[in-house]
Amino acid sequence: MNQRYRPILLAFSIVLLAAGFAAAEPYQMVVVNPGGPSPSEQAQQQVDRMAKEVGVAAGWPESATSASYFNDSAAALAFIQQSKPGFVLGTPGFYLKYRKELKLSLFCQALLSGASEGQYFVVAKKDSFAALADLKGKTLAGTHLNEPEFVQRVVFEGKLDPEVKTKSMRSLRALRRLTKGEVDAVLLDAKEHAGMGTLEFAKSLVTIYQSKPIPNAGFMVVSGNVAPQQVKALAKALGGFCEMSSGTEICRDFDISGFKPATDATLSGIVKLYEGK
Amino acid sequence: VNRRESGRLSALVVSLLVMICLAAGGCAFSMHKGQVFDDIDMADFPIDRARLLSTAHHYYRTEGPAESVARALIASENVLIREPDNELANFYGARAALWLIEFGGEEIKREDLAERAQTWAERAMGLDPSRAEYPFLAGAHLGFRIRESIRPSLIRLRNVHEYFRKAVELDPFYDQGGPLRALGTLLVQSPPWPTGVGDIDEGLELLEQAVRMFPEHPANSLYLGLAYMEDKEYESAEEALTRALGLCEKKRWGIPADFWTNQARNALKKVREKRKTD
Repeated sequence: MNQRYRPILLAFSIVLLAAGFAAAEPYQMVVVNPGGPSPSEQAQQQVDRMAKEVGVAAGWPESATSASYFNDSAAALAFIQQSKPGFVLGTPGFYLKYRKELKLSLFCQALLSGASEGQYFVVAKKDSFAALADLKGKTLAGTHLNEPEFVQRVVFEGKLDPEVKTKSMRSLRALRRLTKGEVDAVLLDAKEHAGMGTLEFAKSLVTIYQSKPIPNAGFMVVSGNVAPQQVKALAKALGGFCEMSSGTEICRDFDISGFKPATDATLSGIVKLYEGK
Repeated sequence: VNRRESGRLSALVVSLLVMICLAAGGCAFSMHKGQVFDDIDMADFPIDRARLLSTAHHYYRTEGPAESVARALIASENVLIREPDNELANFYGARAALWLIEFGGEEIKREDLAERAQTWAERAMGLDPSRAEYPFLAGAHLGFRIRESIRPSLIRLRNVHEYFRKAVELDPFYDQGGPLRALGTLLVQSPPWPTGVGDIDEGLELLEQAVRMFPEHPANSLYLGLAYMEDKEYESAEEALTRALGLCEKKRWGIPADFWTNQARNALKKVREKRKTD
């Protein structure tokens, strides 16, 4: 090889190596909602819009900020491992399942209807079952059953009989099937539980289980993919984001009323439940 | 001599149109750019309202071509410049605009057109609240604007939902199940209860009804297939999409057939991949 080209090639390989180290995408976010609407073009557009507005508020270049939406935890995991995004907006179930594998660290908690904690409920037909224990051998349905470990270990604190059959489906469908006798009980989150009042056919349903309050998750950093000052900038931007003119509508669309600073300690109680300690 | 006479007449018509347009604050046809519109000779358009409406009616063909539908649009707009409350012109304009937005090709300035066409459809609705076409078109244009918007808002989907719901109430069978297709697809794709208007079960029911009532229309089977995909019912999806593909005869459906064929083919590919991996 011509000696003249050696330094150029060396420089080139150093650049390539550096590019390898810098392959993380600090301004990229992943939004995970297991069992949520499918990742259609519209859903992608919606999360991308959220990411750009939040990024601009954090002082990031708009063109470099983007987000990807997943309604399937495994697909989100594969994407995060491959694309190395900086941040994840996800559920407590996702955090609990992948916090070690992905080195996730919560830094900002989402407030839902102003609350930093939520509850889960099990509803059944009036005069059918009185308690969770009565569901042995029966069928429980709902959207949140897409995260079965979280539901069993945290929502039910391990009290759901292993012989209960679970079916993951949209909650509205599950409620309809409950009234038709096709399933025996439905697991709902607080918003869905409150929304039952709008459903004429759900008037005959009663609550047979109510979970303890469970802290919300929110924005997590994928450690190693992003510099601490960027985390700080995003946390600061999120603080007042839902009150900003650019943020109000987005927050409403995402059903989030605000954000507040958090740490992994915020979720330590449910981590213990999840790990059976 | 005849050619010269005809040329003079054309020039006279054009200058008259320009004068009318200037007096009205702008020319409809000057708003449009692109090949489809460039090929249209403005001198071909009549001046009086009745003949313009007849042109708008005559040139609108569901099978296309785009140039013909563009003529219908321009004729409608030329009436609307003078009579913004002309119900038929509002309807014809909104209808032609929807066709061009869906099937007119990349060069159509869709966002601008949809914004104006939504206003026309809403105006027609105000003039006659009993016609299903008007809320159907208003919802379709608003839906398109939300989809294309840099800042799409889920809240505004509720308005689209109201328009389509109204159209289904008034006449679910307009355009061979158009309102059923539109509301069904919206319910399938929207964020689910309780956050959004989404209700996949009702959406599927409406789309199945559209297929039962009008089994020959490719779009009914196509959108049912896409809805089954959303519901992860891949076998049913493959069946509906294959049926849609078989119905997309270019001879019968014209330009829309190409569009539906592409959509059905792409969706079928995804469905088959899903079935393989599942």
